[in-house]
Amino acid sequence: MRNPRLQAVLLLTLTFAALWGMLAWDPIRHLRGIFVNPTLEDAKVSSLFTDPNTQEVSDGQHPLESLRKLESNWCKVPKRARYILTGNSQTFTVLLSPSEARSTKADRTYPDLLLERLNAAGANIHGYRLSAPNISYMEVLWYLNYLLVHPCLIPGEFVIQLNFEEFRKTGVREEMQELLEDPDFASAIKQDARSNAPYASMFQQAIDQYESRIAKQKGSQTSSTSKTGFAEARGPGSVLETKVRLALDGLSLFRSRGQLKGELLDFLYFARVNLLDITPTTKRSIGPGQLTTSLSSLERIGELSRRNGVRLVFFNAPQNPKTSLYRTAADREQYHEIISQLAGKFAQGYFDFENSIPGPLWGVWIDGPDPIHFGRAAHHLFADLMFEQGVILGMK
Amino acid sequence: MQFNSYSYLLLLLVSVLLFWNLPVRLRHTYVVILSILFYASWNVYFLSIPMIMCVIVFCSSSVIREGGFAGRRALWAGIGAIVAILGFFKYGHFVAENLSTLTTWLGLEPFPRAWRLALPLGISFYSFEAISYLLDTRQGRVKSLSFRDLFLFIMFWPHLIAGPIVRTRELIPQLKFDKLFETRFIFSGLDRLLLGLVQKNVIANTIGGWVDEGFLPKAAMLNSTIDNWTLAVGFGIQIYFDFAAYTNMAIGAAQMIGITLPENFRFPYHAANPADFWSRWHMTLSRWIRDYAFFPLNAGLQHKKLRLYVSLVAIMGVVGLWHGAGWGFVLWGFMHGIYLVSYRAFENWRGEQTPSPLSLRIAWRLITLCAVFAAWVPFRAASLEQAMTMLKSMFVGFSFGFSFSMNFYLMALIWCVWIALEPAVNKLVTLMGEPDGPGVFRTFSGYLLRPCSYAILLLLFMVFDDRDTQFIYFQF
Repeated sequence: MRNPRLQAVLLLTLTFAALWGMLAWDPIRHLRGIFVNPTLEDAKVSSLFTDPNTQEVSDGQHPLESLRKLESNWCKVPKRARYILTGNSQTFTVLLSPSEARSTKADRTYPDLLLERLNAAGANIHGYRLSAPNISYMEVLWYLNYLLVHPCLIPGEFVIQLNFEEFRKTGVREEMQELLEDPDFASAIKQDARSNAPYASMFQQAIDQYESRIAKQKGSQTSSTSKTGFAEARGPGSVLETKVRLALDGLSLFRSRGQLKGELLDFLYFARVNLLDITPTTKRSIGPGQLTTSLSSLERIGELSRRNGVRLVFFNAPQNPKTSLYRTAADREQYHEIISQLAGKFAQGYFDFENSIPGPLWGVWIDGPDPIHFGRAAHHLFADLMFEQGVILGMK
Repeated sequence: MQFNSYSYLLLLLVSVLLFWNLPVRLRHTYVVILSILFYASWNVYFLSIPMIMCVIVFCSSSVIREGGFAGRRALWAGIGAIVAILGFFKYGHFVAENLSTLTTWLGLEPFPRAWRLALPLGISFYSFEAISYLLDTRQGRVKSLSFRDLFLFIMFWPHLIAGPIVRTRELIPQLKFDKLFETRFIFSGLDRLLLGLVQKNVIANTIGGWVDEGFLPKAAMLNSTIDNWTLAVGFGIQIYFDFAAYTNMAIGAAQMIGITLPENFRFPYHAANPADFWSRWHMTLSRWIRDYAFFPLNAGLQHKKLRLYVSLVAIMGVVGLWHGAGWGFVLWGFMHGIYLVSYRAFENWRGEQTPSPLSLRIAWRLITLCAVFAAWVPFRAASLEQAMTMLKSMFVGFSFGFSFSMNFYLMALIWCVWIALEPAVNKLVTLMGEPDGPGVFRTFSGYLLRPCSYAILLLLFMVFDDRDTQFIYFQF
């Protein structure tokens, strides 16, 4: 082809055609397939029981809507009859053990089963699961701050799942930042962000991220100021970008980019597991920074609970006996010492369930025995155990 | 309008198509309008500042061209006015804050703190362009004075916000826009543009999330030695890919309308020594400093080593301050000044003519790499106190442990390997992507390899799309 203009147009056309083809064919899903055994992947139950009255059904993706709904429900319920249980994906995942088969009925996880047992025993109690995958204790504190500024949401009991893994998580995920839309919460959290606590700067970072995002969406003229003194000025370009994005979001292939990212991250995760042998069960210690931040968040949760008359309960989550997460015996000892000290200082109840689920009941997933997720029978067993031990308001 | 935004990319495509269909006589005005609209898309009010600078430079230049004492006076008046505008917006608050601290410390009435003004985007860059125009006029390098050319020299949108800092002789002769359309303008422009998009969205933004977390003031005080070294390397990777991405996108956009902008990076982390680093990192700033500050200030001082060294450290301190109004930036500049002086002094002591043994060359490479990464700590840290704590943990008070997700350490390692392989990969890609390269690749590259590569790069850009991050150098 001699005409350079036509060559350029052809190049662009071919590029967009190739992009369209890739979005439609989804090469990342195929790449992911290299590392994933579909039989093992089936072990993760996808049809779970959902109830927006007892669960934060978005699992941390859109908590504001869930909490607003809960607020309207709970205003009729006395404070002493309501409790909130928070934890990581263990609380909302059923990972079948090798001896379990898929069921046609929706599976329930232990928070649902526990509530069911309590009410079956005539407790007339209202429970709510407020969980998110890899939830950090800073995020639990973030949630608690939200609950406390809404009288209808203040629970009689706040049950926190403690987990060695979660002590390594810090920060507040972007999706939870939407709670800042609530002015009372925003004011409470800003006050906390001004404190000297180790978690405070991360709260401030979350606030800045949220405000910056909102300013961009609204195309407002000024927002955050960086350390160099540059006050970000946002003008017509930002408004235009918002409009272009909205228009592009009308295309289903464009919208699929979020899913593609998930698949790509999944692929990278499995590549890490398969090629480098770094799995979730690879033993690690908790870094000093993470430990201090998590501890300070839990201490603040303790203080706030005490001040607001909320019964605080900790339980040490079950761990798969086949895959200990502690790198050294000293790590285990230190972890247990820390959580029992913490419980002694702030909690009205503390339960150690670390070795409560027998090995055969745990799930096996793509990268081997899962350290924190268990099967159907284990969820029933664990709910029974929590009921028998009187974890919720001391009721059995 | 960010370079890595959908609106910019769509408008760029439309603007380029329109540009090549316009008669040559209208192209200059068209690019001026595009540049004005681009800057106004950030903030309409701040548009007045580069425009005022253009007027100042034009008025000064017309007197400078007459030569003599008046010309000299006009030169200094012009530079003074530009520095005053830059100082007012960029350093007013910093100076007032420090004076306030000082007066309080001396027990005097506290100096009133200034309003924290919004910093006009790209002011440091276009101020330097303006100064270089004045100096080039004085040195007779600007052949004819034209306000249209001067305006576009400063306001040309690809380099307006964060460089590359161009010279009059590089850009002004190209502003005729009289080139005939060639496919390579689009090919090479898109190559750079898409590479930049991926460098920014996939590499810089991804690692930047962890770096931001690690440098949070209170959390950073608890980091271990391993954490702090990884953070220093992580930020080194982030800022390199962030800035290189911006430069690639600027060069790419300019190339699409037939304009060649100078390069800013040449594999900086492959530097053989501290001096070599500055010939590879932000090259257009380095040569600006060398030609307009270092050489004129040190002319005839070649034998007065001590004065040269002091001058070098001081100039690097100013380079630090140019980046931002904060002591961390100044410390970063001083650190680089000290590295340069140490290297020069060592080479003088050893005798510059003697060839270096391999072991020494390797040692200098390693020392340079560690020193450059360590210097990023004060550059990025929120305060001097935080920077000193982190540096202390890196060099003196060792502690071990991993505070972040394993993915961060892993990612830092992977990008280090990528940086190590970059020159080789670059050579290979250039060979395969060259439209006028080996015949076997020509058709293959034009109609198969290129569209597929572009589609993959666009897909990655879309997948890692993050509207919340901006280019680091936009702050400067």
